[in-house]
Amino acid sequence: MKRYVIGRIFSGILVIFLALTAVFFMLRLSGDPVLLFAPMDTSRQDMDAIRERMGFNDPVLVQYGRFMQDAVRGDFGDSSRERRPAMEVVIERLPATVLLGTIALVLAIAIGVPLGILSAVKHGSIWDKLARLLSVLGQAIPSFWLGVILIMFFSVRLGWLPTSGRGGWEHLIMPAITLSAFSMARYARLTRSTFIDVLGQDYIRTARAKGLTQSIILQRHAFKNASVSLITMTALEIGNLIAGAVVVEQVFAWPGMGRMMVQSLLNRDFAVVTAAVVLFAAMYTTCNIIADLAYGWVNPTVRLN
Amino acid sequence: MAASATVDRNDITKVAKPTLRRRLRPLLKDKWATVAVIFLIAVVLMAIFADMLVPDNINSPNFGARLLPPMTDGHIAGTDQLGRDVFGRLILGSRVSIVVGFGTVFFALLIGIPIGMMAGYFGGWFDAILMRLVDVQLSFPFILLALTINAIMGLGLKNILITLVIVGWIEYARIARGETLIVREREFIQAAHLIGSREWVILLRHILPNITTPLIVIGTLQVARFIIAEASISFLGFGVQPPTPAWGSMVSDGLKFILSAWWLITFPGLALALVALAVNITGDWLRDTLDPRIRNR
Repeated sequence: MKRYVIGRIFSGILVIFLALTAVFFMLRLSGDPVLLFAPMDTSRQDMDAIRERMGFNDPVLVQYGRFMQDAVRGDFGDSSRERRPAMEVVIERLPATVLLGTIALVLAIAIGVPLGILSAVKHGSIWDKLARLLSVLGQAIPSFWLGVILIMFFSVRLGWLPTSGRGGWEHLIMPAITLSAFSMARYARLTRSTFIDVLGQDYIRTARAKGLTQSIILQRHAFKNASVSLITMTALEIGNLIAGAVVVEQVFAWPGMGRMMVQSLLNRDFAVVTAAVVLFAAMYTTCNIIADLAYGWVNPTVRLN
Repeated sequence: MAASATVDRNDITKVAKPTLRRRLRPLLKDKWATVAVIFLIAVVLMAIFADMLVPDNINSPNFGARLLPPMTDGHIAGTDQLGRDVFGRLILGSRVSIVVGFGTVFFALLIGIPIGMMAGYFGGWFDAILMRLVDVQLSFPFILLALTINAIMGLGLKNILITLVIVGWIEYARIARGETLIVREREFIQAAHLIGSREWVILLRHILPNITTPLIVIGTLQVARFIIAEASISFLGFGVQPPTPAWGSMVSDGLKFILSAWWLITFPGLALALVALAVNITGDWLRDTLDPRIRNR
């Protein structure tokens, strides 16, 4: 077990290392790197100065070594826009993204899972049809459009909720709903199919024959077994939520990492982009490791190696 | 006696070669799938013949007809801030979505299948490299990677297609590898080895036909994902650039008029959702008929 955890952490580090390498070569090999780091209207002399200062005249491998050395120390260079360390700029935005993502995840599980169970237990009923319709729609509607439509109704027409920005809890409602819609649909769908599977098993029939009530069967027998696939999915969903946040934060001007990253891409502030990419990858990898561990913990028949 | 045997054989031939109608029967039974497939075919045709369906001056401004609401002066979906017909631009915009959605899956399959098959069949260092690539790719949120690559490579339809293929092929390589690992152990592959078939013949003639079904099903379901990815990227201001209409950028253009012109935002998004819905329903139906065992993937 211990060896497994250490192995996973090492492979996680390797992945982030490879990700950094990919980002470095993508940025360097895509043409003159100065064009990526300098503002659009920089003069030729200034460009040469930047080239010399940032070491772009050195061989690529030397640059790579320097980039990696700095990266290990958490130094990704300075933001060309804010003139301070890129990682600092990104880390500041982390709490907003984590807050939004967590609420969206809770919302997706709190609504998606019961909906899926209801749909499976009352298989073929009107509830089932409604839940399936919702899950199909949730997977087809683009999140940016859902967000804009919500703004149009609840902010512009009705004036109930603020259109954008960060403030009290009322600022969180629409972004969280928008971000969670896709995950909610997937939870409902997976819970439904897992429960239909589990409820058809022999031990559930045995439990019924013993005279246990429906709620005890669901809680004690069905849910525990269904939770294995739900936990695996949760790790993937966290990834989806992080990715979704990039779009949703932009729609609602939510000051998180995703919005920071999009703004930096538009401003061609690639130091910040690199820092954000690394942080996203680190978060994502950590979630995957935790999910693997949780998987083994919930289902002891799964051997981790 | 002999006569009846001939009749029987004829019957068998009839069953063995199903007519078109027989093949379509399961599709027609599922009425949602029927509607979805017909709708998709219509959209694809619309995208192909878009030039003939819309007037040539569709992208030129007409300031006399700015921001007309739907159903005025023959504009079914109204006009935008430059007086251009929204419905016509929606038809033209379907091209971007269809080309990106189907094109990405096509090229990603074209690259992913051979690489995945070779990794699964031969193993070794090639396989190790591929699996590390899969790990790296799985450690990135899809859209982040696509945005970064697109921003570096430059904007435009061709680049967004290349971007999505770069991001997308690994998924198919992974699936092709997994399926190859399973098929490789089957008896008929050993039999092919024993009669002295060459490796590439085994790969092409024996393994490829046995791994395509799950790839086609997952590929179909992924069309919707790529369509929405492209729309999201265009919405964020990358990807397809004006005046070429794309559904994603039409929504973001409409944002400035959210107070006055609801139709600018509503219709392109509705078009996206309907196409994604139709693709998903078609994909689900394909999966149920072709390959029920991947139901929960």
